[in-house]
Amino acid sequence: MTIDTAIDGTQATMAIEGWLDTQTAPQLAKALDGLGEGVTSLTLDLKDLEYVSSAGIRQIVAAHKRMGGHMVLTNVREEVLEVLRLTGVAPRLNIS
Amino acid sequence: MFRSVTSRIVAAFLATLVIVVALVSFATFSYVRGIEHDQTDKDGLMAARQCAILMGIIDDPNVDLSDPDQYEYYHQALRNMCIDEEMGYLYAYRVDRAAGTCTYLLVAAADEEEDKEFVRSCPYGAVSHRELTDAEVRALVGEVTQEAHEYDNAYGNTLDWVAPVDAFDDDVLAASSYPVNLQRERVSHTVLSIIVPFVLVTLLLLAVELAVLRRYVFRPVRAIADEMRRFKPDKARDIRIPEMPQNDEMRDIVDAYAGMAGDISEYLDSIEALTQERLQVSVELDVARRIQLGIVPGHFELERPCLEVAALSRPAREVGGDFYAVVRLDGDRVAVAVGDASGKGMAVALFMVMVKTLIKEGLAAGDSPATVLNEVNDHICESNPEGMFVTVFACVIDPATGTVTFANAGHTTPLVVGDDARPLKQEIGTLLGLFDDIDLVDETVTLAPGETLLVFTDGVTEAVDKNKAFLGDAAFAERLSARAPFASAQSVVDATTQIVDAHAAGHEQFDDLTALALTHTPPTPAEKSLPVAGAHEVPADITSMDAVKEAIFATSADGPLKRRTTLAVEEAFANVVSYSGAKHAWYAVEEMPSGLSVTLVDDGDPFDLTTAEAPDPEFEDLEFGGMGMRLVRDLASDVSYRYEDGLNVLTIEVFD
Repeated sequence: MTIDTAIDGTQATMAIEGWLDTQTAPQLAKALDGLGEGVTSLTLDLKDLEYVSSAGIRQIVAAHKRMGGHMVLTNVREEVLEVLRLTGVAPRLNIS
Repeated sequence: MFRSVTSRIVAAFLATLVIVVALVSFATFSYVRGIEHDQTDKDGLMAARQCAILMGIIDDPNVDLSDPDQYEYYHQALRNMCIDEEMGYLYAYRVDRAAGTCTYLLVAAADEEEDKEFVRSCPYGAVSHRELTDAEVRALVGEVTQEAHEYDNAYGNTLDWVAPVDAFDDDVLAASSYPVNLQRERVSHTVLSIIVPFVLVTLLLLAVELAVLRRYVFRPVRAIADEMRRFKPDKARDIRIPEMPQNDEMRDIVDAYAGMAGDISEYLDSIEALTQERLQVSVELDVARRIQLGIVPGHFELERPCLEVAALSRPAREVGGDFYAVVRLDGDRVAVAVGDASGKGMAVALFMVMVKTLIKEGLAAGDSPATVLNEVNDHICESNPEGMFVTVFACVIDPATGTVTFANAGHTTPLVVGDDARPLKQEIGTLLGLFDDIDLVDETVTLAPGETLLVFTDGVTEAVDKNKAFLGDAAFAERLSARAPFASAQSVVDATTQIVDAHAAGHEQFDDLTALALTHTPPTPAEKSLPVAGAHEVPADITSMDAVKEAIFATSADGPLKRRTTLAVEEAFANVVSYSGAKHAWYAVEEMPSGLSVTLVDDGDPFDLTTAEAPDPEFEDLEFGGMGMRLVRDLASDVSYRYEDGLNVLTIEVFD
């Protein structure tokens, strides 16, 4: 899994590519920690995210809470969306 | 002050001298004074009478004392008399009792100066007024008083004697006078002339006595004391006896001392020799004990599939005859023997070594316990002049079944320890070494998984407390039961020593203690035949998920199915590695006609994912987890679980 982070003032964009599973979820946690205090809104570009497990979803929920809801998931693939739905988090996230 | 005997004796001598001299001086003085006074009185009265006789001659009409020439003539005669009689003064006078006066007629003194003064102050006819003395009153009536009258006058203290002058009328008296101090001088002179030689002689005698004491007592005593101080046991042989040629008590002391010193040295030598000897014996025993410990290790542990062996041997202070042996046989079987040879010391240790070696060889050759023990018995009985014997329990265990084949040659009954401890049911055979026809036979017992056969020597049951009371078979089994069940063979051995130590409570034990535990353990997961064909073992951690994922993706199922299967399996596997405490894990992936079936096996705590209540956290808490179990159930078409032989077996099926 690779994470490409771009910061523009208070706005950050993270492009996540590959598998976000139990083993790789800690990488996302680290990347989120690295954003700094100045970032107040976040866009997760999930165009190339092929797989997510509950461990990955935990990190996405954590980021959502940290941004106070100012987080958007874009380009979510169907298979990822299915998991978000199954876990019941899809309605609470901003998915565009 | 008087620290030495010498100074005490010298002080006593001096004190005696002072007291004796004082007493002798006093006695001498009293005696001399009495004699001297008597003599003076005699002399004084004699002089007074001589004076009276002279005055009788003068009583002549032709003599006129008022004539200076005649006075001088008779004065000279009187003075000569005074000198001859060794008197101080001689004089004559007339007494007028009615008028109370004395009128001097003629006076003289021995000393020239005094004589002149006497004549000048009391010339012929000089009158003096005074009371008459008793002696004078008596003299006037013709009686004489021998005792001197002492009185104080112009010439100092004098002793006076009075004699009547017959020729004149009754009122003329003649007197002699003698100075008191002269008399005293004479007394003291006489006393001194006696005392001084006496003191000198006494001093001389004391000095001689001290010298004798010094020569024969003080110096020898000091020399002996010095010699005793110098005494050193190792140099006792060269004892230098102070030179004391005389044949007295000191000599006896020296001889006695020399004899004693010699004895002490001799004793010390023999003590040294004894110590040396004991040291050597103790070194030998130490070596023997080390050999024994080398042959019978104090501690032993063996783990085989489905089998644990733990042994402990604790020799008493000296070398004993306890031993144990463990032999690995073919096909995981293990043979053990525990024995106790009679007696203590080097001989029994050697005997024990021989017996142990024979038994070990026999068991290693694959013979049954009874066969081995019978053969060993024959061997010992061939030549056993010392009549030594040994009790042995030998057995072979097959861990696959837990079957123990054993033979007991007179050994303490072993215990079977499971949920409690009970004696092994057996026929006790005859001990080895005394009879050549013991004919031991093999018996069997089967240990259930987790059961332990505890073989021990009588050092356990005959452990003594401070009242010399044995622990006893029944009490030992009872106390061991109270601690059952046990987790391992080692814990049974540990419990045994703890029970013995608690009973002994620090009281020194005189018998060896040996305990060997043989536990038929349940099979470990690795040894089990897995209930799933074709399962692969992987480490029980999350990285193993890669291998599982690879296996899933290697199937011919389509992409979404493989992803869903992977997700379900990942959630289940993450749960296993995070919470179950599993050490081993296995997986098997199987293609089904309509989907995939993945089986996960682990040896962790039992956990049934199919029936466990799935958590349903709020969205805000989802970052802490709680979604995995639901995901598995939602994604899988079928999930089945069973717990078998200590293993969790979870099968997840995902269909199109």
